[in-house]
This record gives sequence, C-alpha cells and structure tokens, in this order.
Amino acid sequence: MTTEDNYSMNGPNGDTLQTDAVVSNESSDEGVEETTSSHHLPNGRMQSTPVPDAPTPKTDKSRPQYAVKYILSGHTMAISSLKFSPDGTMLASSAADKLVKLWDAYSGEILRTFEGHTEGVNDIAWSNDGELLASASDDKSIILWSLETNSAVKTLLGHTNFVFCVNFNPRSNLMVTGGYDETVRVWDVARGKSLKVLPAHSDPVTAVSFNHDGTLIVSCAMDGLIRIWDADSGQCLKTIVDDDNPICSHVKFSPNSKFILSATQDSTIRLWDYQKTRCVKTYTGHTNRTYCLFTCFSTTRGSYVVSGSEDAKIYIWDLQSREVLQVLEGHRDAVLAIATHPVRNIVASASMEKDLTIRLWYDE
Amino acid sequence: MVFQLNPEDPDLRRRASRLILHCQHQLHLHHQLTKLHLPHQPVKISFTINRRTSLTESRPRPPQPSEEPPPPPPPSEVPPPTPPPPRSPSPPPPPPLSPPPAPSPPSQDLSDHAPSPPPSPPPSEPVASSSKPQPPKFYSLPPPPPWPPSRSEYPAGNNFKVIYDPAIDKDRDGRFRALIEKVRAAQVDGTSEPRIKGKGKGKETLTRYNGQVIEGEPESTIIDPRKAPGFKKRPHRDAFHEIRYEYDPNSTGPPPPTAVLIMNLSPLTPTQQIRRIFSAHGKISSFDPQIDMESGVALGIVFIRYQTHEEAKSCVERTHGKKFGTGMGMADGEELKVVFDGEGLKLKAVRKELEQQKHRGREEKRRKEKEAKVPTLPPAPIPAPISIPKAQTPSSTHTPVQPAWRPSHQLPARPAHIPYTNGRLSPPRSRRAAPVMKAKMMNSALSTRFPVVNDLAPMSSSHSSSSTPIHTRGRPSHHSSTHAPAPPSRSPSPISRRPGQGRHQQQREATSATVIDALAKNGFEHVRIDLTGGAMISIREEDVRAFFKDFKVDCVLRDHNAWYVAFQTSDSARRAAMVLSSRTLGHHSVTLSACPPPSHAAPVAAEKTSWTKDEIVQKAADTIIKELKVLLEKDITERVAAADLRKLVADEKAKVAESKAREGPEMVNEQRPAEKRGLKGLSFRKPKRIREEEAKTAVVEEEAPLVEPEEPVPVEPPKKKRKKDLVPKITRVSELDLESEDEENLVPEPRKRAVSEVRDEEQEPVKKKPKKDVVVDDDEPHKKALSKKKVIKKKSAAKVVVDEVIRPDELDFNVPATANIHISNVESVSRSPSPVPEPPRPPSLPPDPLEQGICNDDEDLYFARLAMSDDTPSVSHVLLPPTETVLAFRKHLTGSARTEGYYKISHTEKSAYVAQYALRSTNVESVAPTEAPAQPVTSSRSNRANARRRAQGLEEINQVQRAVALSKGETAAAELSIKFNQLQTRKKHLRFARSPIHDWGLYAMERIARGEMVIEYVGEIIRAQVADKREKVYERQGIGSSYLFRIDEDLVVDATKKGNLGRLINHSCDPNCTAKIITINGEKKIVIYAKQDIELGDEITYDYHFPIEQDKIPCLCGSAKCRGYLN
Repeated sequence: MTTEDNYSMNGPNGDTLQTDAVVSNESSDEGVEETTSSHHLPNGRMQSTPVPDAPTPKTDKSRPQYAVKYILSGHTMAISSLKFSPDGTMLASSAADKLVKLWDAYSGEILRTFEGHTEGVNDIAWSNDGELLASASDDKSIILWSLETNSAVKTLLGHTNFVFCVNFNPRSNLMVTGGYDETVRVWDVARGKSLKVLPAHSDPVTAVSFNHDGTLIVSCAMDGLIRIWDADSGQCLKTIVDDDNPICSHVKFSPNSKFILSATQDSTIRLWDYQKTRCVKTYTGHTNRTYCLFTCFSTTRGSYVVSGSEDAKIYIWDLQSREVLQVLEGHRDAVLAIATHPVRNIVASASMEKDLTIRLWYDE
Repeated sequence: MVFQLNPEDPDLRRRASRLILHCQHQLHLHHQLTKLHLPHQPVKISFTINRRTSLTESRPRPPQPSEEPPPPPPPSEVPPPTPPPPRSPSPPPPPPLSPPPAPSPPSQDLSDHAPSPPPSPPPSEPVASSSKPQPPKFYSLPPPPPWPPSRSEYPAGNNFKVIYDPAIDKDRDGRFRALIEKVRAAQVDGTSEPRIKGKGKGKETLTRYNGQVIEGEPESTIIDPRKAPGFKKRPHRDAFHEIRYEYDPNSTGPPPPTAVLIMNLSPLTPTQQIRRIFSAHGKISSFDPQIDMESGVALGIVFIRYQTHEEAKSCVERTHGKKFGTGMGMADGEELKVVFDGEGLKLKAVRKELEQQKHRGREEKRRKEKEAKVPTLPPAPIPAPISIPKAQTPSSTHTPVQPAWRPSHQLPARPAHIPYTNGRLSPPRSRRAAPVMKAKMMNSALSTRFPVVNDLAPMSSSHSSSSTPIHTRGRPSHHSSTHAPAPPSRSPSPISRRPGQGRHQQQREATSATVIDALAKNGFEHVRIDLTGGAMISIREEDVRAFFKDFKVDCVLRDHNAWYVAFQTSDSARRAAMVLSSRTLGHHSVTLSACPPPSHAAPVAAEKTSWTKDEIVQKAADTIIKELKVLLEKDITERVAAADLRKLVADEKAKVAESKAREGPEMVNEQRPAEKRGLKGLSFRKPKRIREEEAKTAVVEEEAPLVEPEEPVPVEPPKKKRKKDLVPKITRVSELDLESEDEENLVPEPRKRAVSEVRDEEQEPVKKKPKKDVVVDDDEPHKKALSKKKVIKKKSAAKVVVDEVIRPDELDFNVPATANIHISNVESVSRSPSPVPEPPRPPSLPPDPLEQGICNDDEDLYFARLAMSDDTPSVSHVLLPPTETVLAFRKHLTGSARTEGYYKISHTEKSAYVAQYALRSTNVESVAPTEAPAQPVTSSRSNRANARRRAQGLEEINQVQRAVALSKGETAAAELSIKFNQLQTRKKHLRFARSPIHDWGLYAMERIARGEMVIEYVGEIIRAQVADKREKVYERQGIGSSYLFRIDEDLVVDATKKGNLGRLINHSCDPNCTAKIITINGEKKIVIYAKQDIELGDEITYDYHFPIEQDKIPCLCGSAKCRGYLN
C-alpha cells in the first residue's frame, strides 16, 4: 500500500479526511516551531504548510488509531531492537538470544533467522539499499548480513567491549557504532575496516546516528552528553548537555536533520535545536528509568514521536503540541524496541522477557 | 720512439704534458677496450720530460721512462699534435733498467770510458754536483728531421760533462784547481776540444768529453742513481695519473659539471624531500624531477644543478651508491645512483632509454594481445634463443626478439664509456665528458657491458609492482628479452640480480622478528607508528628520531608496515603517544599507539621449511591438542566460573536487597527467578552437542590412543580432595564475616540513581573471588544448592533415561549421575585464577575431576583428559588468558547490554576495556590491585565535593606551603603574584585527554619547569551555601565528578558548568603540581603550580588534600606513594 491509500483508509474516519491528507501526504509536518509556517521536509525541501489546520488535528478524530494487527513471537529472550527495512517490506528484530530475525512487515510471517553472534544482539541497522543488515552484539563484534546471500558478509572487530548501537550513513558506505568501551567507531562498510575511533564519552555510548546527508554523527552516552561530530574529520562539533545531565538512552536526528530527538532516563524525550543548543520540545508521560529505549519519529500519518516505555505501554506524542495522542497497551513487559514504518502507518514494538513478542500496530 | 724535449721550454712542457695526458688517456681507453696487442705495430711511445725547472740542476738524471707497461700502440686516429712519428727503423727505447745506448744528454757519462786512476766519488758527492753543465743541444722541434737521427748526425762533442764550473761550484780544497792545471798540461797537444774554457785564473770551467780521463783525474764510473743508497723509489702506480687543471677560460672541453643526475629514487618520494636531502650538499640552482610524459608519474630520476662543481662533487661523493634505507625514499635497500651530468646528456640518454623500453613494452603487449587471439598453442617451456612468436603463450614473460627493434638492443656492443646513448653521440663528445668522470666511475662503466639497463634495472626489477608503475609494463619484459638467451652470468651488475619477491617475504619476516626481539629486549612500552605504504617509504629513521626528539628514544626499528620506537624510560611511550598523536611526521599524519613490549616467545616457527611426515603429524597433533586445551579452558571458565560469577552477582543483589529491605527471604525469592533466567540464558545444551560431534570426529581422525583412557572413568568420589577444599573454605568464612559487616554498613548508603533497580556488584573483579565464597557459604548455602538442583534436575532427568541407552554404545560423553550431586562444590576449585586442573594421577586413586568441579560433565572430562595427557609445560601459558577475559567482561543476565538496562560500571571494571585505563593497569600493575578498596563506591569522585566542602585544611595547607616557600628564602606571595601575572599572558600548552586515573585528565604538551604556573583553576565563584545546594543538585543529576573547589571559608569555585581546563586535573598521591590560593588585586585565585619539572606528555596532577573521612574514595592514581584513598 502506498500513501495514497491513506485517503481511503482515513476517509471513513470522517470529516478529518482533508486534514489527514495534508499531513500524511508528503509526510510533511516536520517543522517544530509552532509559529512558523514553513517547514523543512525530510528531503530538505521547504514546504509551506497551511498552519490554520493546526488546531483541528488535535481533536479526537485526528488522533492516531493504532491497533494491534499481528503479534509475532519467535525470540526466546528479550528483544533489543526493531527496524523496518528502508522499503518497508521487512522488519528486522534482534534479541538477547543472539539471533536476528526478519519478518514480513505486512503479513507478520517470519522470513529468516540469522545466527552467528555468540552473545546477545543489542542493535541492528539497515543499509539504505536494504541489502545489508548490521547487527551489534555483546560479543564485541558487528556482523554485516547480506540479504542477498542470507549470510554473514563481514564481522567487524575492534570494539573492546559490548557494541551497543549501530547505524549506516545514508549512502551506506559508512557505518557508525558505539559501545561500552566508550568509543564511537566509524567503519568503512566495503572494507570492513575501522576508519575512526572517536574517544567520545566517558560512559557507554548508547546511540549513534548519521544525519540525513551523512555529514554529521550524533552520539549519546550514559554520561548524559550528546555530542555532534563531523563525520569526515571526527571532530566534535558540539556537545549538548541537559542541566540535569541524565543518562541519555537514545538520540537521533530528525528526518530533516535540523533537530535532535533525545531520550533520557529521566523519563523525558527532548527535541533539541542543536544549532542553537536549545531544547525546543519536551515529551513526557512515559517511564524511562533503566533501559535505553528507542524513540522514533512517525511521519506517515501525522508528525508523531513514538516511544516505548517501561510501563509496558507505547506512547505517541504529537510532535508539535507535545500532547500524548495515543497510548498503546498490550505488552506485558517494558517496551524497549520500537520502529515506525517508513511509508505506512505501522508501528512495531517489542517487549522484554515477560512478553517476548513483537507487535505490529496498524492504523488503517 | 722517444721524444726528447727541452725541459727548459715551459710552453713546450705544458703542451707536452697535455699531450701526454691525452695520449695516456687514449691509450688507456684503447687498452681497456680492445685488450689486444697488435704485434705488427711495434711502435712504442714513451715520453720523457724533465719536469725540473731549475736550470742549475746539474746532476744528470737518467731518463724517466714511463713505468707503465708498454701500452699497445694506438690506432692511427691518435694523432700527437707534435711532429708525427715516422715509422723509423730505429729500435724502441730499451726498458728502463738497461740504459739506452742512444745518446741522450743525461746519460752522457755512460760513454765515458777512460782509465781513471783516482777513486771515483759517489755521484751524490759534491764532486759530481760541482760540475758545470754545458748548454745542451736540442733537436728543435719545428724542422722535423728524420727521427731519430742517426748517430753520425749527432753533433760532435756533445757527450760531455761539466766537472767544475766556478760560477756555481766551490773549490774549497783546490782539488779542481789542481785538476784544471793537470788537464791544461795534458791538453797541450790541442787535438781535441779544449776541456778548459774561460779565462782568468779561477774562472775556468772544466769539462769532460766523451769520458776522457787524464791521469790523476777521478775515473768516471757508471752508477745507476736509482741504486744509490739514498734513492727513493717512487711508489708503484697502477693507474694513470689523472691530471686536473683548474678550469679557466683557456681550458678546452666543457666546464666541470655542476649538475648531477640522480637515479634509483623511489618514485613515491616527495620531491620536496628529495630537494631537502640534496640541498644539504649545496645550493641547488635548478631542480628538475623527471616525470613520465604520458602519465605524469615520477620516474625516480632527478636532475639537480648546483651552483658550483664542488657542491656537485660532494653530492656525488657522498650520495652515490649509498643505501639510505627507506628513509631516503627508495624502495628497500636500493642504491642511489648519482652521477655528474654537466650537460644533461646522460639525462637525455636515460630518458630515451626509458622511452624505448616503454615502447618495446607496448609493442610486446600488442603482440601478446594478438597472440592471445590466436588459439593458444602449447607453451614452449623455455624459449629458444630466437623463438618463434607463435610458440609463445601470452602468459610467458619471455618474448621473442623481434628483428625490427633488435638492433637497438645491441647495447653490449656499444662503446662502454658512452653510457647513456644509443650510439648516437659521437665518441669525441663523450670523450670530452670522460676526463671529468671519476676513475672509479669509469671503471665501473667499463666493466658493465651496457650500463643503461643495469643502472636502471634495480628500480623496476625488484620492486616492479611498487616502485615505478610505468616501468612495470615495459621493463621486465625487456629484461627477459635481452637476457633470456644469455647465461645469467651475463647480467653484469650485481645490483640487477636482486632477491626476488619470495626472498623479500622472508626478509620481512626476519625484520619483523628482529623488531620483536629488539622490542622485547627493550622491555618498556614502545610506540608503533602505522603508516600507509607511501608514507612508510618516504620517512627516514632520522625523521622519526627527530619526531621523538623530546623523548628518550632507545631505538628506532621498522618492519614492512610500521615503525617502532622504543624508549629508555618506561613511561615515555605513553607520553609520546599522547603528545605526538596530533602531529604530522613528514607531511603524513601518523597514528601512534603505545604498545606493551612483546613477549619473547613470539615467533619461533618459520625457520622450518621442510617437514618430514612424522613431524607433520606431530605438529598437527600438537596444534589440535592445544586447541582442545583452549576449548576445555573456555568450557571451564564459561560454564563453571562464569556461571558461578553470575550466581554470585545474583546472590549479591539478593543480599543487598535483603539487607536493604530487612526482610530477608522474600526478597531473595524474588530474585531467584532472575537468576534462573540467567542460567537458562547460558543454554549450554546446543553448543555441547556440536562440540561432542567435533570431538568425536577429532578423536577418530587424530587422537585414537587418547580416547581409550576415557573408558575406565572411575566415578568414585575422591574424598581427599574435598577435604582439602574445606580448609580454605573455613578460613574464608572468617574473612567473610568481616566483610559482610562492611557490607552491612555500606548498604544503606544513598544511591544516586534511586530508580535503577538493577545493581551491579560494585567491587572490582579482584575482590569478587573471596566474596563469592562468602556468599555461597555464609547465609544462603542452600539457596545456591537449590538453584543448582533446579538445573540439575533437568539434566539428570534427561540423563537417567539417556544413561542407560548410551552407555552400552561406548559413547564417551555420558554424564555419570553422581557428577551432578557434587556440582555444588564447583566454585571452590574452579574459581582459582588459573584453573589449571591437576593432571589426574593414574597410579593411586585418581581424583575424579567431575567431583572436584573441574568438569561439569563428561565432555569436559574428555577435554581435560585430552589436555592433561599431554604433559607439555605450556599448559599454564595456554590456559591463563581466557580466565582473565572472562573476569573482565560481565555477562548480562538478560542476554544483552540493551536489555540489561543501566548499571553503574565501576572504574576498575572499565579498566579492562577502556584503552587508556588498560595502559595504567599494565604500568602499575603491582600497585593497583593491592589498593583496591573493599567498599562499594557509588562514584569514585562523587564525594569529592563533599570532601572539598569539608576541606578546611586547604587554606591551611596553602599557608603551610607558603611558609615552606618562605623558609626557602623566597618572598612567596610577591613572587607568586608576579608569576601569575606573567603567566596570565603566556599560557602553558595543555591538552586534555582520557586519563588512566579518572575519566579525563590534563596533560602537558610542553615541558614545564618546577615552580612555574601551570593553569588557573577557573570557575564561578559562589558562596559556600550556594555551593552546598549546587552540590546536591549535581549529585542528584548524577554528575559523577565534582568541580567545586573551596577557596576559603565562604567562597567556593564551581567549575562544573563554567570553567577551564584546570578542572580536569586529577588527583594523585604523588602529584607533580600543587594548588595554591593567591590573592591578586584582592581577589583570591586558585592557581596550579608545578611542583617538579613536568615532562612532555605527563599528566598534570595535584593532591586534592581531602580530609580523612569514613567513606573512602579509592585513589587510582597508581603512583608508588599512593595512599589508596583520596580521603
């Protein structure tokens, strides 16, 4: 299904069809500042979005209506990460049971299981072409899996402790990883060699990510710092610290790379204007005290921020109004991993030991 | 022929000597060239020239014949500019020792034949020297008479000797006077020429003609002056003299060359570097690196023109044939070739040669391509001297010699002293250049048959792939084509016969082996400089040394891909790596890494090349056993030790929770599921099955005899052993009581992150060991057993069934039921740091490893036996590492780091994997572990602020310091403020980086002398009350490190949010700086002064001077004087 389907899907919802269409059409409403009417699109284009509709989406009917559609189970230990493939057809999941599994995002069927890690897997990342899947593991290695050959292509060794997070750059020629050895490493994907070791933090690095054009790397760590690096030179360009210095569990660039979304273990998600080093939005309501939860933007239906929570729920905030639009309940344990579908209104979530299921939530 | 020249004629002399030089040269060349004596040309040329200029030289000297062996006659093209020698029948001059019969003025005495009554004086006596010479007669050169004139033509009376000349001789005793009188009396007859000339008494000269002697006159004797006692023989010369004249406008030929041609440079050498190197010899007036016209690639040839010949000469002398190793930028061990090239002819020639080679290469390629299209014929194994193109496979490197370009290959036939031409240059031109060439050069040029190829060959032949990309195409094939038909001995230059690639590999290995050896010998840490290929080549050892000049370099080594620098002191490596990592070496950015010294036992193999069958089998068996040992080791550590650790962790948590809640068992029970989960998570089942398979196959293939002892496994419990185990346990229990008390105290301590439920054990791994026992033995022994049993239950349930089935099948890996019972003992043995199981003693009651907990099951047992059956001493060596690694890294109960959630990682734990911490642990290994505190510490510095706040003493200490300074005679305050003021402007170069002591540290990037100000501790100045408040806030926020520095009673400097580098300075018990509080303009400032000289790259530390407190902050400064705690 494509985005156009949203029309028909949303049509029955009633009079909000028009608004929904505006918002969901180009996955546009990325801008953060409530006052301005011009917004950056994920692809960097500017688009003037009609602001007048802004109040109306906050009505009940404009709220997302996600509901469980599939419950996938297969992992035997806590699921650590979920990622939709760039084309949205597949969902990859990793877990503490050392496995990486591939699921069909639309049917919920299991497609593949990758075995190879000798310890639990902490994070996975898709390359932009969907050909490669990188998995970071407690066994200090990163394995690159080829979807074509269904096998491990490369094992990247270099981290001296658990590898915690991994991400490709948009061109997918580079990969960035962070780990418990407190370093951020930049890898050459083709050669499988470490290009740079950034002595980034003084505590385990919990998230690393490239911006939309691959020029910047953002990393955050348990020392509470968010650092922005020049991907080329490895120079630290900026350090963002919250006053309270809470442990930072996740960080990512907004799709237009103008902002940084950071989740901290004081149960807060913040949106930073990293150029001005200013916190522009704060999202609260969920619980995050222990785990490094993932946080996602959802731009397919409206502009949402989606996060799991340690109270076994999933929270969906409106990006602009910071209001909790929907709370998805159903998991029986802390929801660590969450992923939003790139083109359709799907949210995938996974829970820990007591549950061990992956749930696909549809709003269609 | 003999040229008799007038020695007095200077012009003639000059011309003659030129002529001689010229002729000598020609002769030499021809001699060398032809090596033929032409018997039908008996003409010999000898030149004599009296070089003495003194006209008063009276003593006759025998002719100075050339001492060189008579050279073969020159061909007719050697025309002496002076009268052409006619082919006269006169015999050649006799060899030097036999005086020539030909009448020659100096040898006139020879013909004196007269009875001489008086004893002849020796020729050296004044008698001989006192005779006055008669003006000799010459054959003037201009009218060329028949040569040499016949004897009859000689003018009469020319055979004379002046015996006495009053003008120059003195006749003291009147002997000559008397003689003159006598002669006069005898000469009355007047027949012959008057012997006495001149008038007036005492003014006559006495001459002797034709050896006439009158009575009473001393008889003339023929004496070879060379045989006279005082005669010094000239040293034998084996080469022609080269006579050099200063070049002036009158000189012929080209001016002395000021330009040199340098070849065999690595094309990868940066031109700047070349320039730098060669400008050492003089000012370079033009610098012309040659590049390939097509590709623009450097050819490794540089044409340099100096300003003077001397500079060029020194360049040639000093650099020619030098191996500059790698530094110079040539491929390994390539000899530089530096020759004079005044007019750039050689350069032209070389270029042409290269061009041709390329051309040939291209042609060849084309031909090969053509051939490739033709269906390949069976390759001719060795190409015949003239092979048929068709018989050649495209892959063959030998290429048929094509007649078309063959002539250009006839380099051997070319005159050798025209080195770099293809015969185009005419001989005279080259001859002009030749005299200025050094003799050595000439010789080498002559000895090599065709110098161009050989001179250039080394560049490509040995390093064809790396050094000159453009040459790779043409050159090798060219080589083979010219050399293939010839026997290898024809390859004239030893340079061209370089070791091949294979030998290179060996060399590399050898060098790296020596490097390792040397580094091991050095014993300290070394710095490894990793470079990419190009940079590697272009950097010289001197560069590296200069790079490290600030540190005490012991030796600089290199192998094929890295430089290694060893130092004389232990900490230099680290400091150097710190300071220099951001700089560039030779325009290349380098990555420096400090590495521990290699162990000696590294590379032993590689010398063996040939193996016998037995050896191979032995070797294979050895390696397999080794692997199996490692496996076993891993098994033990993973299953037994790790499981215990995990249990321990869980227990610890439970305990903490218990004491916290004061509720006891309930909490423990809650904790238990988690623990079980953790065990389950380990899931040994699957790997085990696989390993069984592996083992089986391995057994079948290799270790057949080793399997057998597996059969009679006695399952009797070895009681002795267990008793032994009990003893340490008892002692441990007592320890444990103490410690558990400690724990009780510590538990209520407030946690910073109260929310985080999952607590890690906050001790160092070292401490874990005793604790483990404590926990297990102390209050919850049954808990452990319980959990064990749960696991066991499953196992045994399965086993009961399986056992009976499997045993008859002689499967080796069934677990005896009894084994399970004893598992609870496991930890006591296996936890020892090096769990080397004693080899089971076969004779008396072998203790069952299963029961001792060494092995969990039969599989373990099997591996244990396998390992133990081999009594190699290396067992401990092999076994140790895995234990360490297992201890260093925690296993997550939940399976992965992410699912584990946040937990505090203690500093000691970090030291296992954070690079810079690891450095410290290797450095001060002996100190660190002992000072490990027993208390759990929330944050190594979280109490720093606390301590600071209470640090009433600081001001006092400061005063004390001031007092000390005063006692040393310094006017402390004044001086300090002066220093401060001075140093406000001039900042010390400092840098922060990860520190082995604590997260970040400050490092000196320059030498700081004792007493100098290092940095001011800058921050917000706040009141103490505010500081207290902030401190709490910071603590709540989890800012582990506090940057509050108390100035005095009511002011505190807070550098947490605002400050400078000074806040990063770590504490050390043996610091190199002190903090002083000084007042400047009524403002109090904290300034850090160097207490001692601080070396480059040293971490800057000062003593925090925390007051003694109950809750200790462990100190990790690692210094020898470490007190163990900050407070």
